Amino acid sequence: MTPIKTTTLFILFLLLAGCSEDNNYDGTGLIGQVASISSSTTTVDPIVSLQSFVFTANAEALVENIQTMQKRVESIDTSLSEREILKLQVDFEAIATAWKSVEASYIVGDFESSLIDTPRYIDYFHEGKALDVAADIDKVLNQTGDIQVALNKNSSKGINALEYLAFGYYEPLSTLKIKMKTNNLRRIEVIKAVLKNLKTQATLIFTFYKNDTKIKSDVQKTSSAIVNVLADSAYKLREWRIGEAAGFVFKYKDSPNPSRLEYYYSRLSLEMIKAVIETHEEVMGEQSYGNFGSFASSNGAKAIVTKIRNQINLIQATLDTFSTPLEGKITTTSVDPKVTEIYEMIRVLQSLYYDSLIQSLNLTAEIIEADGD
Amino acid sequence: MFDLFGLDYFVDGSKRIFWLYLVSALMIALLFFWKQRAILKMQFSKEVLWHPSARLDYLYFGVMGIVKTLLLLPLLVGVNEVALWMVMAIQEVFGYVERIRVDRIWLITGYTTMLFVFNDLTRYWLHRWMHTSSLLWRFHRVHHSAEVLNPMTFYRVHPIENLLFGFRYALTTGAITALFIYFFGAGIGVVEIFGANMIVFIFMLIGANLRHSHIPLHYPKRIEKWLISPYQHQLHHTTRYSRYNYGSTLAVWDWWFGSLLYSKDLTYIDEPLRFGLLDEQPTHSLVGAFFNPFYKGIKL
Repeated sequence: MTPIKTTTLFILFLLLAGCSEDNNYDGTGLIGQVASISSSTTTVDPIVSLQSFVFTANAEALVENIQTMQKRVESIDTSLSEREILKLQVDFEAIATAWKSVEASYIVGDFESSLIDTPRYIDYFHEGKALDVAADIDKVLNQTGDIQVALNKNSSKGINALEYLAFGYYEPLSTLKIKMKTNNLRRIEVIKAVLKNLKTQATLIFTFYKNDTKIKSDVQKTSSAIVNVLADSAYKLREWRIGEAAGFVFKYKDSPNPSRLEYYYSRLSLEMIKAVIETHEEVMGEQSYGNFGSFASSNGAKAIVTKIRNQINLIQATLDTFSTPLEGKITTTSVDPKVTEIYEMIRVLQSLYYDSLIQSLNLTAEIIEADGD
Repeated sequence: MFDLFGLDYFVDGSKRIFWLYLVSALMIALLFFWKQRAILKMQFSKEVLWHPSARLDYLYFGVMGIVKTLLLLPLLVGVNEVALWMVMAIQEVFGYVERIRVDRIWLITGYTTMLFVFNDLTRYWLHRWMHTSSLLWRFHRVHHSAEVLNPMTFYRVHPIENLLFGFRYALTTGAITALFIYFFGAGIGVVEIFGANMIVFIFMLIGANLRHSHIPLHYPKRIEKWLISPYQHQLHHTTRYSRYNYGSTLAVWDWWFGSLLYSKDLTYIDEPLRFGLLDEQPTHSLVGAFFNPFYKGIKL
């Protein structure tokens, strides 16, 4: 090789080597700026408090609420009263509310692969084809053998089964009392078995959040996981929990049916939607503790965080104006305009989450580097 | 003001004339043509660098900086808006899919590669369309009216073509981004060097600016099947072979879609390539370049 070629190659090599320090890897999560400060110890605090005040606290509440119901069913005997059944229903609402909070911010699967499917052992809404949990539970109740053997389907041990067991088809307490006493309190025994499964699963989640150190140590991954779960949660809320029942989605276009609502048997669908949105507020809203919203906001994403917060507030204010359960606002022939309104508001919230994600990708750089080739 | 006249392009790694790419092109030219001084002398001669065509390139670049900033930017469809609209639409039409979990390194590598490949593919087809459509050719001939080539010729593009390529970029990047978000969620990202897609950066660095030059650098035939060499693009700029080698970086599109011309196929050519338009002698006027495409039959 001639000296000139050697020299030129050497200089070219130096130029390339010089690039390395400026190499910019822009792959980030929600709010891209977050990633760039992932090594900063001072800015990690909001993630720590988010884990403590939201993720762990909600999982702990779920475990505690399950335990409360467990204690109540343990004390039930053949003198079961309607008042006790009502208390069981209140206990169920507490469990379901706590579960919605855990589910709406469930990022465990991103950090612990063995817990990816845990939510599926708790909640069977929109899982599987033509799953009729009520019919399966009725079969179990009509049998006389061992309950654990009869509960051979995982779906019969989830929260949807518990709802049917506690409420029937939204039946009067007097009817439920008769049903619960039938077959030597078999319904109560099934409730115990379901609660046992729920406690096992909830404890796994709580234990993970309580002991985990990965969430705070990998802020970039945590950011991605949080945006994913919030965007997914907003989508499911809109499409599955409202749109399908109201006939807004392609599959059920203009064919509303309230029985598609998530908590149709207990008439608690509205309360659960509120719980989901409240969790979004816990994660993104202005709180006394640091959360992902404050974290992103203080690191360059203030504008989009403000929009998200405003949208959450708007949704909450609108939900608060609902005077009756959602099940009363959707019939097979009509849908209350407020349902449409809330559906559209959640669509905006979902698009804001995606917008924050897309903005973080910084895709505008080449937009007018048009190609004169 | 610095930005307005496009001077920031020299310090922006996502631009073709980023200083590093110019330096690397120069060094590659020196490296391979040191012994063929006549070629180097020609490239840096007054006849090439101060040719009326080249002078129009420089003027055009400065004026287009203003046109892009004041007129084109407000008209361009934003890639973010396209991506957002697409991801929402895909989800509404096809429903929810469980996010595919892959290691971040693979996700980012995949996204970076897909962005590059599909942008290169759509560039090929739009470029080809600019040649085959008589209406679009009116605008693209502004670029092909260059009779001498230099790196600034890259920017000798009619504003209508700028808009079309901006739209193409928004659609392609928006679609790829939407699909990645739909299937993989929020972990995506682009590996960038100096603000440019890493793959684009590498290709820019290995002599992209020689495409618009008189330095006949070509690759072995087996490589030219995959990557367009500078000489292949120079052939595209000739009056005779402009219907070949539409590719920007990858040659596979030309290969697969039947428009590939290898450098070796033309070794019998021993005279300098003739660049420009076959059917007329351009006037190299700025006003003509901007307005004549709207009037059929008027010289550029």
